[in-house]
Amino acid sequence: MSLTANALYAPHIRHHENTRTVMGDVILVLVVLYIMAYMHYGLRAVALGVWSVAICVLADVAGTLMRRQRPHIRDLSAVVTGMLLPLMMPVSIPYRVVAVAAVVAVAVAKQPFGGVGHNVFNPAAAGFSFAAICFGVQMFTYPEPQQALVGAAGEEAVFLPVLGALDFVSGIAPTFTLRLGAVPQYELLDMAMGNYPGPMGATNILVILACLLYLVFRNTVRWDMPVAFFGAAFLFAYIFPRSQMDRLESVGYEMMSGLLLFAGVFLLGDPVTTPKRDLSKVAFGAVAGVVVMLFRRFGNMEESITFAILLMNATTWGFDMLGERVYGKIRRHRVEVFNSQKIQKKA
Amino acid sequence: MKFSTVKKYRRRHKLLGALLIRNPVLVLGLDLPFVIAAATSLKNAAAMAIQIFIIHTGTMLVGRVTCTKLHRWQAIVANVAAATFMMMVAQVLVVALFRGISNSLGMYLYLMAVNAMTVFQSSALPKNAKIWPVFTGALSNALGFALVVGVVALIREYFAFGSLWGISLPVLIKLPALAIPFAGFMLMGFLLAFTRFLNKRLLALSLLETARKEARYTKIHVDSVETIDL
Repeated sequence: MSLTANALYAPHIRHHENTRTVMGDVILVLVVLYIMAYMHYGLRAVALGVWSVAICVLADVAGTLMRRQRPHIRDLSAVVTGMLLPLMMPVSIPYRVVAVAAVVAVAVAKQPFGGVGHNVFNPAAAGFSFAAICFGVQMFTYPEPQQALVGAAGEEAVFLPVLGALDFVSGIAPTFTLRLGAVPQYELLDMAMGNYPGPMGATNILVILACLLYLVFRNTVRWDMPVAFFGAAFLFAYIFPRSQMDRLESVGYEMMSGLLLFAGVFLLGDPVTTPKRDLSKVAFGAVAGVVVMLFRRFGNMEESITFAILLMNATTWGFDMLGERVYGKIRRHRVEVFNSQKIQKKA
Repeated sequence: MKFSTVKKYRRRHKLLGALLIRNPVLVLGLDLPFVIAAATSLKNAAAMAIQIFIIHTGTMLVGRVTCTKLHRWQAIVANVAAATFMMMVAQVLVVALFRGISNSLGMYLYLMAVNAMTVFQSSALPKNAKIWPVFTGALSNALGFALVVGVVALIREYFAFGSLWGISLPVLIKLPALAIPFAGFMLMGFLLAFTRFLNKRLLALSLLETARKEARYTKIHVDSVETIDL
């Protein structure tokens, strides 16, 4: 652990990392995902991101002022929430839906609990879930990436327009096909490259994996929880395939479709709403993986992963408590062994 | 803080107390399921308010008698039986007033017979309780419930369905998720926070007023009193 000493102001011993640096790392990788979204869907993807960030920051400032505290925009937490939200949605999503999701994320899931570091539920997951219930059709209608789309005025446009009415051909997302028990029409390699309809930031599988590696390398996200999460989801998908196909192929589709990978990296990686201890993290990740797959299998919605994450967020304290108990037992056992060795030496 | 000041403040805001300061739903957390799950339209809210008004007032008056004549456990059974009878009477009225309310409220129409506010308050009456305070207390509690259920239903019906009392109204953005119980929890949370803020504000105003009076009496400069944080 790298620490610095500050003789002037308390706390005198400080860690190099703070909320701002952690959020900065996440923003860096989210910018990469926005670049990918821009390449697949055009300028509208970026505009949605800017709009969402603006709403989140405004809601955060308003909420902090209402709590009679000084706003800290520089901690960048509202920016991360704002950047995450549109990436989980299709590029065709109306701006008002993004605004509603952003307001709910900050004003309902974050500020009433005390702001940064005190929220029980992941704000982005809460905002997305609310929008998914309210605007199901818009949230789960995905345009084909890199497709010639017809603009509002009738002229041929490569991408969806930034403003104005949208007219596009929607594709069938693999999550929808899997939910029906059928086999998705897309090749696994195409899916890995992001060439399939889906949430604008969650389809670039290889890029998300690279982002995960970067975040793990930077110590922003611990490796144990994502590994446990993906491992549990992998096993579940292997044992209980949803459609009639090869088990490994089914696993591939399950892992690469929808928000599974994105949520595993960015929503479960949130240090505030997940357990603190290593052992608790692993247990939490594994249980979250199973719960997410159960929601996918038995849930009513096409994409219910955020609901599963919210449910898991509510159980975080339990995992922390169990982890503490286990560590307490281990410590006691070590002390007993040490004492017995001491007595033996004396004897 | 002087206790006499708080007492004076409570006496002055007696009616307000039932609505805000000692609201059975907002402060004591009684009858929450009806507000959270069933208050999705103004018609539902009105039906529930009428039912509570009849059930609660009637049962409290019965409870006034049972608390003196019977043992505590016997009184509870008698009160619940009285509440069930009141519910049947109220149901006849409510079903006649609001068509289709049975389908809309479902089991909550019948669950009102054992609502926490009535069961809790009727069984906790002291043996020497006087009839008039029991009656006015029951009335004000029913009014407090009606206020909360009305506000929640108004917000939910307008934003979830874009209508009020079944009449369609223009709405900027419809949020159907507000009709789901979890949104009821969220709304209740915000209402609680607002009530707390309002209570604090009222108490601070009352304190300021009292302090001003005392300052006038003792000829202390009033400027020093006005520094009380509101």
